[in-house]
Amino acid sequence: MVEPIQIEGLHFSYGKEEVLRGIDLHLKNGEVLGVLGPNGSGKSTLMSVICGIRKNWSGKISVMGDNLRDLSTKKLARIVSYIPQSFEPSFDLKVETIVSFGRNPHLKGLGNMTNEDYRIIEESMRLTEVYEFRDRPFSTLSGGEKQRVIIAKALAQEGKILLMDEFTTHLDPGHARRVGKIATDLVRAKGLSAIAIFHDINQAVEISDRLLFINNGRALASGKVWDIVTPEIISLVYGLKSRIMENPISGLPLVVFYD
Amino acid sequence: MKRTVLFVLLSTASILGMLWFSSFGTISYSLGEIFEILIGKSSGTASSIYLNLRLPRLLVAFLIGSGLAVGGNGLQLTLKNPLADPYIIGISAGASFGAVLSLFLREVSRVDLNMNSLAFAFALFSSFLTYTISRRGGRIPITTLVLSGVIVSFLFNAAVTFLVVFAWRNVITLHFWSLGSLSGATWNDVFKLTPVIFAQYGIFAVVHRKMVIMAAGEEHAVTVGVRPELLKFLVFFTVSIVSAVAVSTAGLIGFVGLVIPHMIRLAFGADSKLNLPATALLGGLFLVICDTFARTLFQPTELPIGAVTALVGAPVFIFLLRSKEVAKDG
Repeated sequence: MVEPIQIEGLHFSYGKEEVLRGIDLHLKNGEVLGVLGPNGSGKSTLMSVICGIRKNWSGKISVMGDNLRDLSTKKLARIVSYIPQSFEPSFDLKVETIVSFGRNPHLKGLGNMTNEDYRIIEESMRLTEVYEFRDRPFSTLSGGEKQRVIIAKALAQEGKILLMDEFTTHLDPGHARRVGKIATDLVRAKGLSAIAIFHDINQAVEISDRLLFINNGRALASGKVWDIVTPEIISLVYGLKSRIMENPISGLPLVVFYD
Repeated sequence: MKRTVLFVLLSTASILGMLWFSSFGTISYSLGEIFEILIGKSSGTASSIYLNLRLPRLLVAFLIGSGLAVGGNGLQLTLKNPLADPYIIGISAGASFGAVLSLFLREVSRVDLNMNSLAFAFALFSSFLTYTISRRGGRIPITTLVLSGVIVSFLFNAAVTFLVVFAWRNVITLHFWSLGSLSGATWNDVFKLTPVIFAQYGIFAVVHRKMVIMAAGEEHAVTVGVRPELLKFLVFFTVSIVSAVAVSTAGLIGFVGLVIPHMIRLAFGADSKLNLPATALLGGLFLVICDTFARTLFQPTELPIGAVTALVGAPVFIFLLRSKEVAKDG
């Protein structure tokens, strides 16, 4: 079976500043790949290349077996759904309208929605528990509610690959856990594959099947959590001393930083 | 539900309002007389004045108001900017330069270029000029767009002044180009405007969903299959044609495209299915009302219609500039 995403030697520059300097990445079927790295390491740029926002990259990227360059914007949007860090429309839009954006790449002809589209939108809103406030303006929602709406949008998009860019960073621990769980449960239930960028290494460990560390536009290391979360790698990536213990509740690695 | 009722009220008000406002003027008509003229039961000078002067003027006002409002709404959504409007971002000034240039060439060098086409060419040019000047690293800050529009407008308005004074040695015709007037409206203008205004409406009806997606962010739009550059070009192109035809017919009329979409957003929401038809209706009705004031307030002298729309539009602009929609981004 073809790997959902294969990237080899990806380079990207903003003007003269090279942000990605030869990244290799493989996303396997049905896994959540957590991407970690310090601020400015190129994580978000990497993600924006994969979802088609930035174009003038070089290297090889294949998405579901197709060369990324050969995929139209619309076709790519049918495969890859994206959950950004935050989302701020300029005008007051209803929750349901934002969820319906996910159906856009599937519309045919003059772009009218069918009953099937409405059914998918409703189902997505129920799964993320936003159905009750579907008629409310998005701007009146709390941070956690907003992110659930964006997840519903990504779900309605029905892409096989989900990209999540620090999608719980602006939330308090309670909401971050809840929203994170909703997203990962959906990835498992729907058999999706996902790349998720994390700010918090311990959250990444809990949610991801595999981790990839990026620094300075290069992929440093990747692997299963117990294999890769070591004081050496963490010091290399973040320049911090750390001790790794076993989380008494989850049995996963727990990273504690010190100077 | 409430919105549907509101829309029905607006539609009724537009039709009745148009008939009612057309009754005022140097000759007054009763609604009964107007009705008789319209169904062809009345003849004579009064009826022929209504059919050949007042009625085409009424329709031209409605069409232009409608076209500018729908165009402004399209610009605001795709540029994610509540202050965008054909007048403010300099498209109308570009169109007026093109129109005056065609007159100038005819007058000075006997070169005959179509006024609407030349107006369109410069409208499109000025839209991209403003857009390019204001773009900063993939974003268009709200106030930068407005400032760039002001500068582009100044440039083209100054060029218009030069051409007018050079060719005709007076500044009287300038008033028409800088403040607009519907006093010369004819049936030919109605026939010229109708297909253009309806075409814009049709195109924007088809891409409305995409424009709303753009209002939620350009980068995000890519991830749900929208091509922002293509959509922006389509919107600039369409709005430029409408502005060109409107300006060639009636000169510069500002603020319609700013005020109306804002009011409709408050009443219906940006994402409502009724947003577009309501914008078209209220825009048309608004310009009919403004033109009625322009015709009758100091009759028989006419006020330039752009002065009337600016009197309403400038306060709304100030209000918007200080509102939360803009404060986020400035």
